[in-house]
Amino acid sequence: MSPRRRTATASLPTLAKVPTGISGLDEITGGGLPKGRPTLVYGSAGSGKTLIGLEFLVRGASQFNDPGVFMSFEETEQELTTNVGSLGFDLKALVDSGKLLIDHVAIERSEIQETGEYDLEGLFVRLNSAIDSIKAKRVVLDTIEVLYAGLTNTGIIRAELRRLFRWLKEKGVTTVVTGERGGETMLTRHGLEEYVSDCVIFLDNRVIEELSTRRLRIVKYRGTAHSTNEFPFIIDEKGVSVLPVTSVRLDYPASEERVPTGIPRLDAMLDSKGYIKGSSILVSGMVGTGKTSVAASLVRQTCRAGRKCLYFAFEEAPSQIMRNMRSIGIDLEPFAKKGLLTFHATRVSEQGLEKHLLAMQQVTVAADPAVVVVDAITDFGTIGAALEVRQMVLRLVDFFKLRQITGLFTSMSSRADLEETGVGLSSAFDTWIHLVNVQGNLERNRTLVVIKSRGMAHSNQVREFVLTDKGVELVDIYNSPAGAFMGTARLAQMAADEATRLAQAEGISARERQVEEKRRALEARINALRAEFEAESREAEIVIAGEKAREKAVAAERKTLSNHRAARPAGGKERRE
Amino acid sequence: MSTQAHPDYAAAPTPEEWKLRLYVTDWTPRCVAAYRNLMKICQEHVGDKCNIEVVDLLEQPEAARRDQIVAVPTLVKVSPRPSRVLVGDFTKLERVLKGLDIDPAGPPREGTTMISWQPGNAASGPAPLFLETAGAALEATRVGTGPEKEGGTMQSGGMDGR
Repeated sequence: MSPRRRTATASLPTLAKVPTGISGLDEITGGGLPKGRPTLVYGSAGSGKTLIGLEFLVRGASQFNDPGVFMSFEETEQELTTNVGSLGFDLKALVDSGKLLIDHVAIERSEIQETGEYDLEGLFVRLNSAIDSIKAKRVVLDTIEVLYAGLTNTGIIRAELRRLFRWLKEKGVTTVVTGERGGETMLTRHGLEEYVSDCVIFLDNRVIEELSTRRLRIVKYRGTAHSTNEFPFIIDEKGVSVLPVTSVRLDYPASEERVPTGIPRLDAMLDSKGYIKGSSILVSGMVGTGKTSVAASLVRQTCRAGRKCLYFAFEEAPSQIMRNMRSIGIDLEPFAKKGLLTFHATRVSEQGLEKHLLAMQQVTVAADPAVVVVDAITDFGTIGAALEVRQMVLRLVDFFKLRQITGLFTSMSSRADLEETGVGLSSAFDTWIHLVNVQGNLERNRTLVVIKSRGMAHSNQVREFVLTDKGVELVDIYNSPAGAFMGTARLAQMAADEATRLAQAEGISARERQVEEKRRALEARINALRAEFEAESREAEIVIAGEKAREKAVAAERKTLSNHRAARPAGGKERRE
Repeated sequence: MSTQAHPDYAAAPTPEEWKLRLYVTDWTPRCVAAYRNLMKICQEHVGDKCNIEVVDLLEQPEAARRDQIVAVPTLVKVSPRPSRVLVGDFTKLERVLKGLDIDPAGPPREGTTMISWQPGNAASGPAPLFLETAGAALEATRVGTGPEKEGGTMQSGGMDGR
């Protein structure tokens, strides 16, 4: 957004909102209900209208210090107090402290004889006095349509309702009006939407494949960009929770921190560092390809570093997982005992998707882990339609990401050749590791490939995936001039190649020895010749020395002779020599 | 004002004694019309000693909640039993009679109608003038005028009919 536009937006008056305090509802409405205006909440019987209205008041009174008036046309104060007592709402305390006022309006058609014109001024008086007595900021009318059942003159009721909502707006109270779901032409049975046009919320309670799911949809919210999606919601001991709590915007932090995978060679494949912290990892593969062992490797690595892990198991009991992993040398039990590893094991069919999602979120918040394993997301396919499962997983992924929790999800593929996520969700995951069993030479071999990994340069090589008694190891697939090999074929080919190499090596050394011997023979001969030469040269020297001595003797003799022949005294000048 | 002024509230009413309570909000034209219509019907059809208590909800808003009043005007037949609730301005005679369990074919009966005006608080003024004039025309006696809140107390004492 450009700075200019931001300024323009800031100067515009924005719709004031009143937070409901209901988990998730304020997020999807962008802050709550329109302040000082009525909101229509409609749905069929048992869809949770009354509860949402009551929680709006209870949260308002206890969290925002907004007193509220609950005008009940159906249930008495006593009934309401009992009904919501199980949700932890203490209505009596709120009533006693003047934060809440419950007025039960009893109308029975059989009791009332209409004798002419009338108005609903009595209702106005009651509401006005109730609002003024506790200075209420919030009002709930549940369900005002009962008036149509108690009184026959619909013309009067319509006119009076129109007047009532106008009056409530003037009064400046934020009102929730509940209504019964109508037929085809109208949202509500008596067309309440005609009077309440600012915000309309629809509640639905559907049974899909024998599992009841509650949903909430914002049909209309004047002056607010709102999501038109249906959001699942649940009612549990903490009241109403609309899901998701977080996945409305994609604004989670992106980390640079890395999380080692626990498998050194896999780290090497992932940019030599491992997964990215807070990212979502999908490990897919058919049955028996080793998905759980990849997950367990990460758990062991993380727990060894002293960080907490949370393991959602939907297929096996924790003890069984630990036993199985121990057989491949990954002992998780000490971590579980130390409290670093928490298992949350449930049967998928135990509850609906929404309850699972909420339970998982609550467990995650309580455990505060660095790494979460969900084994396996495909199990949810048994309790929900593909689209719902997809949304649920997406919400879960977002939930973890927002909390910077590294999430590893396993997914069972139905076919080996397809690199399918099982729930059609590849875009939700940052890193996707696919495991395939390759069959050949009467054996199956595990392989691992990183299909994608956002934010890093990852290896494109298929690696052989070996389960040893020390955990998971990745082995390069053996490349030789004869082809690529793995498993026993890899070992066989490696042995064959080694033999060849050995044979070749032996050949080389034999030649070398030959040459050496030749060299030695040559040297011997050279030495012999040199010795011979030395002997000869010594002899020659002796001869030469003898000759020289003789020559000297001859010369001396000759001098003596000549001196004798001259017969002159020494130094005479007659003869020159 | 004390209970002695109209012992019929405190004592168990005789079968002949009628006790009606009319809820209005101020004297809007509809309420005045309802009041006049009711007086006429009481005069012509009830016959017996008829005691009408008028409650102005604007002065006693808590009465609306306590007595489960939604529509205005509302008439509650406290006695004789069974108690009945009528809403509207009493323009549809046959419905009024049916609501009061009176046989429309029966002969007109003689009787007196007493009006009990119940001010909500000490600050409220005297009863509207037309109560007097309407009452005079019908030989009604106006009772219960006074600054005390006793009227309200007595009225809640008469709630056993509901």
